[in-house]
Amino acid sequence: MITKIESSKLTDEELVTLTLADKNNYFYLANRYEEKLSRYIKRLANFSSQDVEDILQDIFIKAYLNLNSFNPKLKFSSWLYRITHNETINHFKKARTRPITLSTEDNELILQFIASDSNIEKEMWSQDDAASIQRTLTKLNKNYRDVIILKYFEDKDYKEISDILRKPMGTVATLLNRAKKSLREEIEKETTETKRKIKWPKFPKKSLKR
Amino acid sequence: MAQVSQKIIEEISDKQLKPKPRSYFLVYNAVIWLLIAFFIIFDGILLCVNIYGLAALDWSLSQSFNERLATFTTNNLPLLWLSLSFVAISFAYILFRLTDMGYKYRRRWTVLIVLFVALFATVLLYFTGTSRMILNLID
Repeated sequence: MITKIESSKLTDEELVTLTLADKNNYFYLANRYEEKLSRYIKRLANFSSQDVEDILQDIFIKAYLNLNSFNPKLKFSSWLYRITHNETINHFKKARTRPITLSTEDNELILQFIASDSNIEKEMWSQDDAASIQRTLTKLNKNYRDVIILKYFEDKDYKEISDILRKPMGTVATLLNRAKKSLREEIEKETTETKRKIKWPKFPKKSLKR
Repeated sequence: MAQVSQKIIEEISDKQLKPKPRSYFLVYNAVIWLLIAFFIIFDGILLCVNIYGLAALDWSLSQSFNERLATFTTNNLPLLWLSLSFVAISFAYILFRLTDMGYKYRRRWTVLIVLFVALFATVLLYFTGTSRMILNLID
């Protein structure tokens, strides 16, 4: 088994080769991805920490069993994310729900996402608005949400998203554009609704009893 | 959470898990490609049957029945063979989508690629006389 320092210098693909020779090296691969993947699972679905840990174990075991099917033409991370995506979907199919919640640490990422879209005025948005966007994201179509999470929260490029979701790159680009448009519309709708709901001051009811 | 990787290694050791051999995936991929080839050739043969059927039609009958050529052709199309041909091409399409490269192309392009290959196979089978030979064998 290699040391931790040695493992840090190795690429994922090299670690895969070493894992096939000695199973203990798989520890470094799993260790490298467990935080990233647990965040991704939480972004995809609102599972408890215990559930996330169970799903993670299933993912890593599945990845280990299928390690020989890893295609070196793909990035290892894309391959692992694809397994994660499928396993998470399988889990919430069993649970029959898929409410998503983004953690408060995602607020900064949401603001970055808005800033990346030239059609949305950056200065209009503050940290507080990120919470409103979080709510809006939960209303989006599943396909739109998946590409937004991968692009802006997981920082994946089009090729990687295409490999993870098994969709052509052109489709990914189209989905992303539609997702942004849909998100913008939802935000505008929410803003209009908020303006409509003017809170009138509450007047004390006149007591009938004297 | 930091213990997940340790737990995995322990589980792998306890259950003595091993990665599936590379040959398993090679055979799996080969089977998929063989099935695609089978369905495309099968589709080619079915389309050849349609062509033979249409070629054997006595077209002068359309004038006798006072039918339009299009109506006459539609009425005499071997619909069962055409339906089977559609099923075969659909299977080829679905299997192609399962391959490593199947998701890289847009659906319309995938359909066009599969149709083009199937038509190419049909033409090849028809003009080399292979389909006639196969049909004679079936008869």
